[in-house]
Amino acid sequence: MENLLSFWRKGSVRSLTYQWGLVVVIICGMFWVYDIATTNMARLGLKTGFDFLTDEAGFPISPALIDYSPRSTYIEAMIVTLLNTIFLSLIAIILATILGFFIAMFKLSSNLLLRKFGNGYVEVFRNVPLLLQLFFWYFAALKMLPMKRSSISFFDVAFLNIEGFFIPLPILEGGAEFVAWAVLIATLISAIIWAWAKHRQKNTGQPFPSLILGAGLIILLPLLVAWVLDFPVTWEVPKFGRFNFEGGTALEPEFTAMVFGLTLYNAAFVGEIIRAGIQSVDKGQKEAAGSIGFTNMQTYSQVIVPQAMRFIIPPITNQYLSLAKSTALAGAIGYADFFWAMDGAIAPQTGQVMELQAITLAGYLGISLFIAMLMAIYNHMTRIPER
Amino acid sequence: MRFLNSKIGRLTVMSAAIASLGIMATAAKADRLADVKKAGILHCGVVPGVPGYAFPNKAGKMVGFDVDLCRAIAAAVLGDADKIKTTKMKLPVAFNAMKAGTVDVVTHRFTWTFARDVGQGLDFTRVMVFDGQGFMVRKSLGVKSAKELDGATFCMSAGATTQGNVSDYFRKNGMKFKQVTFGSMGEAQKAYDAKRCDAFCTDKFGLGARRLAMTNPDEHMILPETISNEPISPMVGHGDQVWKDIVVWTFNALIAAEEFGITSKNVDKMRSSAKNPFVQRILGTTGKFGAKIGLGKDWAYNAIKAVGNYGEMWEKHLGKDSRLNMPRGKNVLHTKGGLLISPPFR
Amino acid sequence: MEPILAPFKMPQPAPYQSKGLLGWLRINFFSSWFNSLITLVLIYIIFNLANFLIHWAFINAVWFGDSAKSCPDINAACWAFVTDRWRLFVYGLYPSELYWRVNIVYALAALTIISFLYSYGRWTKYFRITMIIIFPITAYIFLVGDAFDLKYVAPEEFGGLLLTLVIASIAILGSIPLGLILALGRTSDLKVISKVCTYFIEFWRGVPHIVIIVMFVALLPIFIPDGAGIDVVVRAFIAFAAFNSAYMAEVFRGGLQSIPIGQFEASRAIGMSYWKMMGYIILPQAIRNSIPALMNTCIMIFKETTIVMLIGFSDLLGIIQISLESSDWIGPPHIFSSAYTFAALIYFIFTFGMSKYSRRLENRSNIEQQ
Repeated sequence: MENLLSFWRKGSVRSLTYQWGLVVVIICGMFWVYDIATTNMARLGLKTGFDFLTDEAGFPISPALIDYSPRSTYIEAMIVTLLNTIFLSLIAIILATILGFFIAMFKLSSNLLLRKFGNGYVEVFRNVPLLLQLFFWYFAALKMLPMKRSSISFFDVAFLNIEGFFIPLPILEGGAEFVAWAVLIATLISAIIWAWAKHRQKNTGQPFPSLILGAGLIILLPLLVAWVLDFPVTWEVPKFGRFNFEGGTALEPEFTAMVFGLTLYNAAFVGEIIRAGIQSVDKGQKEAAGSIGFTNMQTYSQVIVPQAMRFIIPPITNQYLSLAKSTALAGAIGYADFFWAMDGAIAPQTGQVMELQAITLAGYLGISLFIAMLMAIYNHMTRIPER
Repeated sequence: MRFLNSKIGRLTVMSAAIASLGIMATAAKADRLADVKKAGILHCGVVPGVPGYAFPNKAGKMVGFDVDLCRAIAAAVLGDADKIKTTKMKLPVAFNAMKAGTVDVVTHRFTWTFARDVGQGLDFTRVMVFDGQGFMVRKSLGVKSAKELDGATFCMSAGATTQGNVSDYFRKNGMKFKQVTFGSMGEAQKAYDAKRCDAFCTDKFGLGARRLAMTNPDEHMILPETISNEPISPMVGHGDQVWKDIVVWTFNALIAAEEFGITSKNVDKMRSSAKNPFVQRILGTTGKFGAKIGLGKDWAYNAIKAVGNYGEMWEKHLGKDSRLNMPRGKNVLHTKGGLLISPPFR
Repeated sequence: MEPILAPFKMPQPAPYQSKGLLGWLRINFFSSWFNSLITLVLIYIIFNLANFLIHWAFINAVWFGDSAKSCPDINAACWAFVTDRWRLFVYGLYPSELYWRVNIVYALAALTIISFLYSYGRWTKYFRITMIIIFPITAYIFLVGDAFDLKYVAPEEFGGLLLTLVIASIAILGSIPLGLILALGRTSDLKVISKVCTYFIEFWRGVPHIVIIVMFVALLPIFIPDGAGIDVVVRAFIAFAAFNSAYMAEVFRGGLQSIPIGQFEASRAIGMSYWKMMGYIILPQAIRNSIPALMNTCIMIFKETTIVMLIGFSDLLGIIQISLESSDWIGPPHIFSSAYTFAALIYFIFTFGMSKYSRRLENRSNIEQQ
């Protein structure tokens, strides 16, 4: 008995017991839930299976970034809408970051009115539920856009009206792949130049305009290739049909309103994160940079921002994740996102709720993981090496 | 940091948390009638958002056509029309939740379709509203028929049969269309009103009511075509035949009541003095119809007394006595050329 | 030789630019041409916005009426809808003869809030603890009933602001203890427990809330015995508590990580057990450090309650939406824009109040630390 007790008191034994105990409890719990679920489903006469995925979807999706028609399968409908969700998140993240940066600048400005404006912006947008804001922007946008008969024309190739912003669609011809190759090669070369310039600056202190050179290369090289090939692209220009513009591609107001709503809402949070990050950098850093002759611009880009980034990255990652998740509200204002397709379109048609729920969870977890991974890589790349 | 001491508490708490997610009383549900009688309350599923069918009034009570169907069953089963509990959910969610047996009866407007009836654990009872899908357009569009809508954009709501119907109709006629689909009918209608779409699409009775919500109702017209057949029927869970009979025959009684001129006002008089054997059987003065479905002999009397006959319900919530003022369309008695018919009480 | 005396000068007055009202204006609004431009543009925008709002919301607005016909002017607010249906917004579908029960709960909630707003000397602590214990119990008894001769009211009949507040309170009160347990688990040295907690937390954090709520409301009955008997609104409560516990866990983890490692080592060195160390040394500090983040999470939870409207529940936003579709009030779009503005205002008042309170807490703890 005494032996047994002392054996039990040994930390490692006990910790192993607890951990394996937990594993056993979880596995038993899972079996238990599985058992209940199968019993219940048998009782209710529900059938499961993924056969329906290859059935015809039957409903149109717009916008669709890849080829899709009502004759496509459910699985294609899922991919199209998942891409819509990713596209929307991406655009909103970029714009919210830019706007958030400006909000932070407003709040740090020397103009009292601008500071108050920044404050007011943050308070108003942060304290009203996103769903309400989305409704507001959607119906406000519809109210402000011109009617179809009085569309605003941009040089007769692009048109704006209540059904969206219609732009020409490029149709690629033979040889277009060379242009794509040119973009790839130019990007590679710029990356090499950037790495070399960084290395040189570290060793010699000589700066090198790698950014401008790289940007120029990425734009000019493909252009040159395209010119040599006599521009292997034709443009499908939207034309007014019976009801509206046909051909080309369109940015629809649902998308625009989503981008607007998500951007304005999240910019309030991003702004606060960036402001807090910048203010967390010691004042002495700014003064020191000034005293060795850095310009204001240099102080910010070389001294303040790199240090602030350490405080900014973790909370901003959370904000991006929350933004990506809140795109699931898009169905409320008619944007065809992933959740809209799963819950609003496919589930009522097929009734395969459980399978669809599992796919939905997997899709969103994938997006979240992807964003978290990107931010981790970025964080790793921009970290300040401890000396 | 090595916390290798007394972890028993941590483990207990954690496993308790995991286990408590599932520990609930186990009981199998088989006899819905006994359950409802025992609970003393009838649990109905309704979906707010279609004017006239289910919405809260000023005093915070759910009222409407769908709610009255529920009240009729409660009156028949429990003798008191107010003993109801309504679960309010949006269409797609509602359908899924109902499947899992959450409510006793779904009185919301679900279209009776093959896919919904078969293999989903649900049974449709009887058609209470014959509807069909139609289009609303602006008069200024100059369109006289749905056939002229090739290339148009439609606003509609998700989760109903709407999407599939439009898709089928346009494919059949070799036309193209675009759609904007919203989570709820309200948003779809507001977007159409803001001129986002050329046409607004839902069941025709819905269209009639929704026209009131337009900025200028007179600018809009409903196209003559009815592109689908929407028999709308309440649902019960699959497999409980007794319960299904109760629901079906309560509804039949409401329709038969209109046929024999029984109203909520004259039902007492009819019970004491009616000579028609059908009326006597419905109201329980002769025969044992109530007992055969496990209810009291007053079951149909209670239901009619509480909500009136079908015609009364219609006029009160959808027809002349409401702001909606919808004509009954095909929902008149077969004797007047409509589709409403109750199997005989014999 | 005459000594050359430096001419005596009076000290110069402060530059005219930085004195008085004009100086204040110059420094704060017109310090450069760019700043002046911004100021002018902002003044223009604010003036126009205010002008529009005053006309829309006050001068031309309709305040009373009983149906959509009372608001013919589509370019002005229709508050008549709000004044006609305010009972629905406050009490939802709660039986009207039992409003007094809700009123008692509202009064108790107000008292609880007051107990946290001010300091009452040495009674403060007892007052707060009593309120925090009494409030949930009394609120449950009065709202749901079925005890002490109180009639049973199903949670599904809750609605409007009541439902919003109930969801938010349950989510907050339920997720704090769960979150604390998860945070302890995640920071634990026991690899398996820490992994399990981490996966659990990251799962909830990686999925949109509306997906989780739909999952609970629609599918919970299939995964637990007799789940169909659980009120659908209660299913949503469970969902809210579940996913918010993951956010709370991250809040507390932040607090735990802010504690210097020396605190752990010192407590172990004097022979404290894990629970004593956590209970007496670490958690009090960690929880205090997490308060700002905790308040932010509370604000987020409060705003997030609106999404239950998407599945047809009648929270404040949801009941407004379904009331707009009653046959009395179905009407032109200015009615819904007024109603939504009203809703936005209510949400703003609550969340803004919470954020002000949180800032006050932060300032107070900053002062205490100095």
